[in-house]
Amino acid sequence: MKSTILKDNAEFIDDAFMVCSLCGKCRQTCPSYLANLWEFTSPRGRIETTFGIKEGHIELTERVNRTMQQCFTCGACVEICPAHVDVRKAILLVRQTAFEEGIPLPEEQTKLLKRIKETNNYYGKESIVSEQGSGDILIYLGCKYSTDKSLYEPLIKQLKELGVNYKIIGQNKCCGFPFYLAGDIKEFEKHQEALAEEINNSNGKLIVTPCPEGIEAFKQAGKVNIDIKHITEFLAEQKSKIKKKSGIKKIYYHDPCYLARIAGVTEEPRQLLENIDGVELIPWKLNGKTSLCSGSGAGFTELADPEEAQATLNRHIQAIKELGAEAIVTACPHAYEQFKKQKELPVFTVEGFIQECK
Amino acid sequence: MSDLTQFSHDRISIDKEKMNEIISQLEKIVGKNDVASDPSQIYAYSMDASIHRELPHVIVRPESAQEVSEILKLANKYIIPVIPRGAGTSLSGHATPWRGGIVLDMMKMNKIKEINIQNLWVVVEPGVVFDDLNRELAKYGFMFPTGPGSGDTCTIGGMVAVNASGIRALKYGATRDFVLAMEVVMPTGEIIRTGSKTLKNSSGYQIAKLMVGSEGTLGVITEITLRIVPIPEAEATILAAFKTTKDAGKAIAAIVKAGLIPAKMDIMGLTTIQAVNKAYDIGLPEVQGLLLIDVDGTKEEVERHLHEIAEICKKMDPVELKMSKDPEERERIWAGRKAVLPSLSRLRKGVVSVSISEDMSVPIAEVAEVLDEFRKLSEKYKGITIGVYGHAGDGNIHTKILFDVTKMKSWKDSFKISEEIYKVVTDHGGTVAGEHGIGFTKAPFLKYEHNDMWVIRKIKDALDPNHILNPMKIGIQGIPETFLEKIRYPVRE
Repeated sequence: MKSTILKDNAEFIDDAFMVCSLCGKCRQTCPSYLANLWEFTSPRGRIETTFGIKEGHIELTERVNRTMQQCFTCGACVEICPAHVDVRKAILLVRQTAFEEGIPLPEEQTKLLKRIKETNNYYGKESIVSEQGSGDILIYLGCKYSTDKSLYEPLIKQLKELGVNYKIIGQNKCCGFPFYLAGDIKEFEKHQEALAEEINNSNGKLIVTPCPEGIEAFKQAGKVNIDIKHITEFLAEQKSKIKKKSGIKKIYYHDPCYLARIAGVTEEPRQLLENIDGVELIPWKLNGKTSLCSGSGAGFTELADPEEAQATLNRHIQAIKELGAEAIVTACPHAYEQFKKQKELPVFTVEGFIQECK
Repeated sequence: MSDLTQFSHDRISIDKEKMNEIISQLEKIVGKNDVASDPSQIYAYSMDASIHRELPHVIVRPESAQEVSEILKLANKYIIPVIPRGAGTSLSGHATPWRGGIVLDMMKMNKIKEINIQNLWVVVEPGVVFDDLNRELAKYGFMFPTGPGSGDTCTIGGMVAVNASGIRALKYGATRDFVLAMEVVMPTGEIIRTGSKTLKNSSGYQIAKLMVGSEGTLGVITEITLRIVPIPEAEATILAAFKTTKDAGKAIAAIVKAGLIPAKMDIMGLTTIQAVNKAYDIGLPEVQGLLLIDVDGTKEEVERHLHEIAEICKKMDPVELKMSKDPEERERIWAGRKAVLPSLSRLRKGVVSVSISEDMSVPIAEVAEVLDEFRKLSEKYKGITIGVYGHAGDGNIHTKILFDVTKMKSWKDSFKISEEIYKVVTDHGGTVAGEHGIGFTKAPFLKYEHNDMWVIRKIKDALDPNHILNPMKIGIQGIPETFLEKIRYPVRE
């Protein structure tokens, strides 16, 4: 193997392997394992595999890479692990190694990356933004919000209602996070550099984005020099100005993995929803930092294994229905899209739900 | 290229052509999607939660007793071992192949088939996870108690196979006490139903009870009928911190002697408390002997027992004594106890916790003395730490040994310590396995306890003439001299 990534990270991998007591607590929290029920799709199985590749026991083949791509990168295993094994990091290191070794990705993931390279948008679409603004609150919409009217319009309406002096930035510029997840760090950084150039040369004082993966992308690249907040954090600071009444009572709020577990934002979306007259948030064990992935996996894993994604969504929906939810609200465009695949319950983003209320 | 030679030197030799033949027949039985034999796939099945690693030849996921039967008939035809596997949480190597073979991953057989409150039983497939079963039973106000620390992961099949138990065994008993009936595929492929769906049964040999604890060596369990009990009206927790483990042990004996049988009575030693506090920031008092006691029953009983136990503890001069009825606080305290095992490896850099002499049981009155003997051993071996915890209320103690697993000398010392630990245990009238079974890791210590191995071997020979099922476990094919075989850790010095 030419790639030295695993050898360069030998201390981390050895430590993860040795402190993992194989207790298996991660198995029952891992959506990938629960959808597949093979040990090699469990977090502890993936740690074993990572160590095995590093030691030269097993070869990093297309099949092994696919198993690594089946991980949703949701981080539920990292959250529950009493030995604090960073399974997610280990998996991303193997993905980077696979990329360096030229091991092909599953077909749909390859198509996505090609599309982003060609169009600079996850969906291959052009931005629909009509009015950019010139304020100092920089709104980075990301691929979904900038191309989907049903998400874009309520967001802009909400900002206007609050009198936010905003400016839309990064139009037709993907944050590159799918490349990061694929292990193509150079391409990821290229996307981030283009964004950073625009942002650092603006007069912005804060970046606000509705995309949790975007936050992680900015954080991992570390190229922009101003703070970044999720839209729910930003709106929660002004929640006293939002007076609404809901016709829908029982809401299931889904904590997106990248927002709740990775960015640590769990309270603000709830504050916004609880601020609405008539809303009752349904309590569930799998919320906050222990939330269950929607089955999207940052819009990337679902392309590696659509069956796994669908099984995870089904499990999620069944549980929500048993809880008696009347609607699903989430704060991640990928989770929103994933939940939209079911037709029984209405799905909203947080600001979309606020705008839906009277 | 994969290089798996170091994990396959004890595998039985099967040439490529014959292996392809076996795989193709397995695919006919369960379907292509439920057979895996790629090097990376078998690597992930070459371990459980024990210290060992050895590669299987192939993994198969059956979904019915009929499929298991056909697989076992095939295995007898080709004389290839079969290793049943649940969640792979065994600490003694039960689910690690020893001569290679076919791993039967039972996780697809995970249905709760019937909950029958009127008759006080539940029928499950072996792959049902303990906590999932109890979540369903709780809807009816019932439970399958026992309470293993790995309850969020371990399967009922695995629990039955090792007669597992846990924090609730003191009052409610171990898995064997709850097994009423089962469907088993015998080693040669016959499907039997044994036991009955009645609370009482004196109808000849209790084969179902024999299967409990047989560690996958006598049959593959494909359905289990378990007795269930009502969830008590009230529960409360007492946390009692003592200066020494001996004082904690004395408190345990005094509580039991007073005729008080708490639902749970667990002990944690200083090392384990520090590990949990570090991993979870729970803030448990850092003393030599901490008792966590749960009482359950009617509200009146709970109230009375709480105060009676508190009074007994006070006589042992506790550093701290706390009572809680708050479900969240109680859950937090017990979550810490359940996380001892994995937390220990994060206690200090350079040492990790391994499962080698982790489970033993002694008569309740001997607990204090045995804990003190363990403390002395900990002082004798420098550079090696012994973490003590367990369900000491029923005499069940766990020790965890922490050392640098990359050094062979540490491994050799750890074996010496284990020998001394089990000698102490058996000298005090105890057993080398309270609830985790024997597997391979504990087989060397059977010599201190069993003089009935010949009976065990006769039963095995009669039921499994080709020794297909889970070879080299429970010392059946010979008691090993040491557990220092097939170590999964990278021993570099």
